[in-house]
Amino acid sequence: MREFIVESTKNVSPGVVNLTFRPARPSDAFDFEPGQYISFGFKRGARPSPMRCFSLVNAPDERGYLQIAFRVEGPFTQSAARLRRGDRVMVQGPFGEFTISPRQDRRVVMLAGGIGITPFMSMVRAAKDRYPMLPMTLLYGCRSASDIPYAEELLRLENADPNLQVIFFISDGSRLRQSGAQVVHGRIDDAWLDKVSSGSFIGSTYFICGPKRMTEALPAQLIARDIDPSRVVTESFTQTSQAGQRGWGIPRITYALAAVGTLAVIGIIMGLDLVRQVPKLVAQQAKNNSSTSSNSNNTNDATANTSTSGATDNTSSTSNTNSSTSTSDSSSSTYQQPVSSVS
Amino acid sequence: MKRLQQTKQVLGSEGVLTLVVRHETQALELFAALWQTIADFEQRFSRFLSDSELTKVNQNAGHPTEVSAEFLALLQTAKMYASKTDGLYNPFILPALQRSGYAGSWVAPKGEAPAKGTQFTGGNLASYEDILFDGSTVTIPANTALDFGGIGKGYLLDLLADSIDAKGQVGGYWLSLGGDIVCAGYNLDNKPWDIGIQQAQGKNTVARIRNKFGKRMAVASSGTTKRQGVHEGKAWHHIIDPRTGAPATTDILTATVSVPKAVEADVFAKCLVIATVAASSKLADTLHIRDYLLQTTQRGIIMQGRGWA
Repeated sequence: MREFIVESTKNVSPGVVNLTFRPARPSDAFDFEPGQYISFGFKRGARPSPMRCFSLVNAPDERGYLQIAFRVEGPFTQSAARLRRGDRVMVQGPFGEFTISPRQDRRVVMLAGGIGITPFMSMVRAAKDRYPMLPMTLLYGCRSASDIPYAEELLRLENADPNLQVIFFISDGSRLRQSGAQVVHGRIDDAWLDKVSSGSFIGSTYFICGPKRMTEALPAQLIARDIDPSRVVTESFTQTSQAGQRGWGIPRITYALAAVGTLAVIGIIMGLDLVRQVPKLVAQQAKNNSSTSSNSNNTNDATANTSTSGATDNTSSTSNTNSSTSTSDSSSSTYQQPVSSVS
Repeated sequence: MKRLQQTKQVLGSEGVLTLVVRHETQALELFAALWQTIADFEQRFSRFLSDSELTKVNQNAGHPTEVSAEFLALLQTAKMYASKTDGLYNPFILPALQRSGYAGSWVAPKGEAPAKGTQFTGGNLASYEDILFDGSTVTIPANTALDFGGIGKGYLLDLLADSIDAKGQVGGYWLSLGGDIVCAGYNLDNKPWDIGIQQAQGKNTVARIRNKFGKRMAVASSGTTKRQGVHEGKAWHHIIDPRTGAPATTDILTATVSVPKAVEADVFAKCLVIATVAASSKLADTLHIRDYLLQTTQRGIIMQGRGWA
């Protein structure tokens, strides 16, 4: 459990509160991935509140600051909305795998409903620094134009980042105050799902966060459009769930290779032992059979050798090129690693 | 994406430029522009060239000298960091440096005499407060001489990184001038850049720092193990303590600093070496240095910060 201090509280739209926490001590700070969530609680009087989960809305911050946002609609969020600057809160996390993997995700489509925008805010805020070349499309469904958390900031981020596209879906027909926004009156429907699952969107990874009916219905609708289930990732605020496994990540492959490697080594050692020892045993047996004395015991002495591999050092010695300029590409063995040395 | 790299001898050391780009032609144009910026900088600010703008200002010490906007900007930056470090960084150490034994360029053939008009061994150490600016002219005290050795590479790395960022279309890069490094963005396959830290007295890597978030990150190392020698029977190195005017007496072999700006990494690393281990922690707090690594004579390696891999 880590301790944080409320730095600020702010209303980002009617009924939606944004809380910013700073670490109480440097050791309380932690790194997180955009899209992850934390659980947090606080003291009401002398009694601790339950811990509840909320997505982080800020981009990872070098100072360790955390931001969450929530709609005020129950006893917990009503109490949380009354927290003031300087109040102490307890934080656990970060949790969740609702995160972009630059290795696997070549294009990202984010489907948000209402306050389900929160994990996506962290992603789009971090996008320019963290995923500079990754095309991201955000389809953001809201009931009313007067109640869209972060609308202005999303427009600003979209204008500043050529790889980010934001489309607002407003279901009650009201008009968005901000100009320059791409607005669709209605819900994210079949026609839009067709659009974002075809053409240049083929191969995209789909992240879904919003009301339960949305996180339950959309994955099936996407999979029905031949989207690989491993590329449909859902988050429903306080718990992570996935429509399918996201494929073989590095750790699993590492574990699998390690297991196969270990079994192979054990098999080889056992095989060699058998080859070495069986003839001796057979000979001993024959000797025992032909001898009247049978007191000797033959002890099998299997020795496993462990080989030590030397740690390799990536430091490249600096070669003096005498002012000549050469271009080496990524396939070249002359590529120098970045090493800071005394200048 | 492709990763392209060029190396060249510049500023008395090796320059390495590495770009991750979509098209090779973009990179080649950018490489040419970056090398040109470095060459212009060297011509303007080298203390080893008799016709550099720096040498002209030094030769005219005590009198106002009309300077270029680039010179003005670097000198103002130097003054600002001298103030910020409370004089631990001082741009007036050149006479003391030359008296200690660091007279000629390390890239000049051995035994070759320094260029005419570039020696100021009889000069004094002045305070940064004595630099006067008046429009496009600067005046430094008579019988003093400036040297941008403690700040120039870092300042230049920031200029180069600014020009890459302004162009856009580069997925990632790392640039090194004599071991001072600035990087941003990502390597191939969106991997973050890992910067190795070289042993003080060897070629091995003692630690790594990872640019996790792809933002601009600079790493500079400074120390007493290079650019050192024996002069008139006395050992010397190139880190001059402005408080004594002599090579710093320190228990730090090298200090490595990682901060977002290369100019700060360059200046602050030297200040930590001068400060010694005992005062390093307080100085790091004062200068807001989050990640630093000290290779010391008595206490091994001291690492501070959360960025180390």
